[in-house]
Amino acid sequence: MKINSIRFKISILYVVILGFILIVYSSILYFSLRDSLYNDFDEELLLKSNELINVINIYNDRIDDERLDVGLVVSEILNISKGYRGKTIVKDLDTQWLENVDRLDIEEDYVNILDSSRTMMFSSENMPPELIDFLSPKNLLNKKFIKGKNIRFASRNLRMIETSFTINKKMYFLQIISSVKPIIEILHGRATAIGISIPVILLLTSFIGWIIVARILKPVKDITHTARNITYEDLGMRVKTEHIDEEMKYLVDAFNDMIARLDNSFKHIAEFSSHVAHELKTPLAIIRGSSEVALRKDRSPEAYRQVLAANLDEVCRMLRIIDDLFLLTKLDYRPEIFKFENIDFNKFLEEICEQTSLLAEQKKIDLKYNLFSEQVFIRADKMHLRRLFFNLINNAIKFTYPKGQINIVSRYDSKKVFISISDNGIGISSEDLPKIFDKFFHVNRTNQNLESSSGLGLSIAQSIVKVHNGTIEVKSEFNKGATFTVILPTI
Amino acid sequence: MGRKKILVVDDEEKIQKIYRDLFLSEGYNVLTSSNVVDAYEKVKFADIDLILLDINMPDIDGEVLYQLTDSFFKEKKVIICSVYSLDEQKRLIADADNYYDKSQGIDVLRMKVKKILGEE
Repeated sequence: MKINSIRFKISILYVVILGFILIVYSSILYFSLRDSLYNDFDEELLLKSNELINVINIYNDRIDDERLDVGLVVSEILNISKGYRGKTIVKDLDTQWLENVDRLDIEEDYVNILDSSRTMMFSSENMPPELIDFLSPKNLLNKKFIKGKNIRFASRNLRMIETSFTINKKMYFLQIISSVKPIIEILHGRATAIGISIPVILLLTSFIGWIIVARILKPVKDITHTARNITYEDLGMRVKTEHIDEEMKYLVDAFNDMIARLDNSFKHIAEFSSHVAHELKTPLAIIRGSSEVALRKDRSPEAYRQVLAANLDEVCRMLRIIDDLFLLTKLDYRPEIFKFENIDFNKFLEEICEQTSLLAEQKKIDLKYNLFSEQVFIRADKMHLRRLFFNLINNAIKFTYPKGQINIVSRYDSKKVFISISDNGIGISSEDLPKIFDKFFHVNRTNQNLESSSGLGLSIAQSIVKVHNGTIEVKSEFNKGATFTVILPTI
Repeated sequence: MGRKKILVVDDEEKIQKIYRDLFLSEGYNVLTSSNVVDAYEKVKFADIDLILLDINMPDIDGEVLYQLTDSFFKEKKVIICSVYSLDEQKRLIADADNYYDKSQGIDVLRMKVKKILGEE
């Protein structure tokens, strides 16, 4: 497992988000539970204190003795509940009170009565002296606690509420303090449940998330696996596209397409290099064969000269092939070698026609050209564009019989120039026509008045046209001639 | 019994010349042909003993001539002569009498021819 893996990150993110939600949610539940528990508790305490005040009032009314101290009354009341039977004041009230004590479950609680100056008048008997101290005015009795107040005393959790009442026009305060142990226990139980369940849930979900993420990322793994196993020899591998989510399918499809394209390119390269090897092997076979034949016996200097000249031809042929291959590679893969400039196309083409007409003359071919005379500019690399037209016109000369005719015609419209080069030479058969731009395509080589070509001339022409954003078309009828038309965009 | 007759079928005229020179000096009759159509005429009518057959030729490949010869003139021997490697040649045309890689040098070819024509 790697920390910077998507799988790890997604799982962690998943756990963090879920953990955050769970903690917030549980906290809300926990605190609302606590609040409602304390509210209920406070209400209970309030009920108890109201009941006590009520009883104190009743006692007071019944005794109706202004000399009687309220503290005494209270002590009387409270001590009844503790089984004190010394000075029973009012018998029937005592019985009633005892019932109340049972009902209110007040025995365990601590009760304080304070006078109007908030001085401790009386405490229930069960009250530990330390607690009385603890509750002394300087600590916290300067406040009224109608609502509950938690007190932590001697490792006990207590809750106190305070109410006021009036007897004989004097104000008193009643405090009831009770243990919140049951609440604390409930809350503890809840906190423990939360504390255990959240990690368990997170652990479980992180595990499930881990598995789900693994499932989602499976195509990535497959792609990696496939990519790793792809070699030059075997580009036939593909990632399976079944059971893959839509988004991943795009990725997988794109990846498979890429391999298919690579596969094609590799096949093309393999085919091409085998082609190159064979093209170069033929002249080498000739050189070797003719040299070996020549060496079999002594020959005249003239015979040797012939062999050497023939061998030289073959060497030149190989160099031509290699040069053309270099050029072709540059044209196809290194567009930065082009130096584009604006050229006056008519002037440019006229120069070429003049130069090539001399070549045609040598073969007694009539080269005519009919060019438009307006200035039309195109953006082109002069050197390569010249090479394009030289190739096409030389081809025309090459494949035209002596006394044949070549016509070069140019015209233009608002966007393009059209240059067509027509000859009435041997033409191209209809089955050869689609193949003539292929690399190393040769027409019948036995027509020996042709110098052997590299078979790359038209490929080069086509590449040059492509670099200039133009097109090249060919029409031909076997034995009647051919017409090549180049179309280039103007500026 | 006259001299054995060899037909060289190759679109490369220089190759034809090399083989012709070689086998003429070895005492064979040599005919040459640049394409399959012409070659098949010679196979039919010229009483050929052995064909040295190039595979890759314009228009019609040597394979076609091999099929024709194999079907109708089974007694005529064929040595495939190509710039392809021997493995490749065997893949393209199985069951020829022998195979020769043109870059191997003429002595290898001479031996193969002699062996097939029974003059080793």
